[in-house]
Amino acid sequence: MTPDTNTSQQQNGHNTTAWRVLERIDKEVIIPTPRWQFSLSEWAIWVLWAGTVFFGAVALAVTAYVTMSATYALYEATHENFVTFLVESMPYVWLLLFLLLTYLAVFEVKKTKRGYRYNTFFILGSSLAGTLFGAIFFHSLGMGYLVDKTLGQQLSMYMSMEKMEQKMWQMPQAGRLIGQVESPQSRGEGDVINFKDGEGILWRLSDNELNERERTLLLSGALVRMLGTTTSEFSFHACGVFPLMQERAMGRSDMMHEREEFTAMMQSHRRMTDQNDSEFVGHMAPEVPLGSLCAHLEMMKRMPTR
Amino acid sequence: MLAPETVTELSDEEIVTRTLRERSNFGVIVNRFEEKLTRYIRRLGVHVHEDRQDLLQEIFIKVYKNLNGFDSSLSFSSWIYRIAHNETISWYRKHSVRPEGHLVQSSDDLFLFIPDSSASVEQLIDLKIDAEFLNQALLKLESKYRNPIILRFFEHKEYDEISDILKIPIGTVGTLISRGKKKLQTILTPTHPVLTNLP
Repeated sequence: MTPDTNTSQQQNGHNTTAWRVLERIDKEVIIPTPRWQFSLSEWAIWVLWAGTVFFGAVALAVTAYVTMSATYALYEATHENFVTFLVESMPYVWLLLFLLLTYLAVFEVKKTKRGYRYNTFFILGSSLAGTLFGAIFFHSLGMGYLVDKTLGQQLSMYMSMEKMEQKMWQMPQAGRLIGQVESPQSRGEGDVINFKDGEGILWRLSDNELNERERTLLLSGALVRMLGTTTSEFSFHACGVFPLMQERAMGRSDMMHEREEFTAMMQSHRRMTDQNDSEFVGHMAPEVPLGSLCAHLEMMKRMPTR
Repeated sequence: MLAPETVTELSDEEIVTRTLRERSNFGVIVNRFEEKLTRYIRRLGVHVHEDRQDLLQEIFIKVYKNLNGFDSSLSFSSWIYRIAHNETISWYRKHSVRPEGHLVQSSDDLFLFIPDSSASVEQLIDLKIDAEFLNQALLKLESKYRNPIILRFFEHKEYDEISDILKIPIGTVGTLISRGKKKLQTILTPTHPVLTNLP
């Protein structure tokens, strides 16, 4: 069909650009792309952005959970110093994912119809704000824990908090055990305490250096982390018992409290060794610990002195 | 259908609306922008007449196909310039060529580009020759500086229009123009004193 143009033919005949363009439109049956396709692609980008912010918030919630659940209070028990503890405890994958998703969110907004008009810092700020609010909400729902635990169960290569705790505390030769007592209700005076560790190995526990609170916690049958030393094969001398708080991240006050208890307990063990050493001067070699096994734990050297 | 003289009096945006109902109205848009876009793509460095004609046709076809995607928050002029710009860049990529000469067409362009007070009569007589120097200098500029400079000083676009055409924030437009001018001055310094005092 020849273009029924009201412009080109009437103005300049058949050799104008307008005529050639309209002729090609007719000849190739070119039609404008429907409006819904433009709207759809615009919406798709915004949905992608919302998804990115959502997953960014989840990543941040898991980061928060992992960071806040790290056992800062007992870092001397597991690491040489605070720096090595921090290096090993940081959730790098989640942090990286969070940063990557934030970058992606900014990139996506820039790709929207009017995205180029917005300042990059404004887009970054709004995306971060969305991510942060989402993360706070998810964190309050315990999603960080849920995601971390589920991934740990489903992916063998994923190091969840649970696996991390297991790895850090299932080290009897280093004086750390994780697990729970067997038959907690049936213990009578002078009975042996059987403790099943994270790998299912049964240990005979001596609890004479534990305080009452620790003993109660241990015998309640709850999953606990334990500090101490092996005395013979499958015998363990307990020096400290701490609860496992995996289902929620520890608050600052809880953390401070745990830290205070831990340091106080270690100081008390140290005081015992000072007394013993002075009593035994001139009688026995001081390297043989009699009164307190706990006072001679390797980690005692890393504890701050008061 | 409206009489041709009535259609030509309508705004670009109204003609777009009418084109979506009756495609022959698109001829008005083509006629209205043909000269401007021809000049613009020539300034972007498409030197051969036949190439410009082919490219221009592709630009208008692209515009027609995307009419429903026209964002009414922009001016139609900015939108069509954006398509022309992108199609020209694609054309370069497709043909694996670089932009060449004739960004500055005549001494008229140069009058707009240099400060009135800085040029003496003798210097202005040389403008015809200097146009060639300026062309060479502009071609030496990175495209990120050259494009806003062409739009600002030769197409006389405002910053917000340049922002819409090149899809960059307005603040960036200002920065690129300012830096581009400084770079141009550096390139031109050993060449000619008139062109070294850019506004």
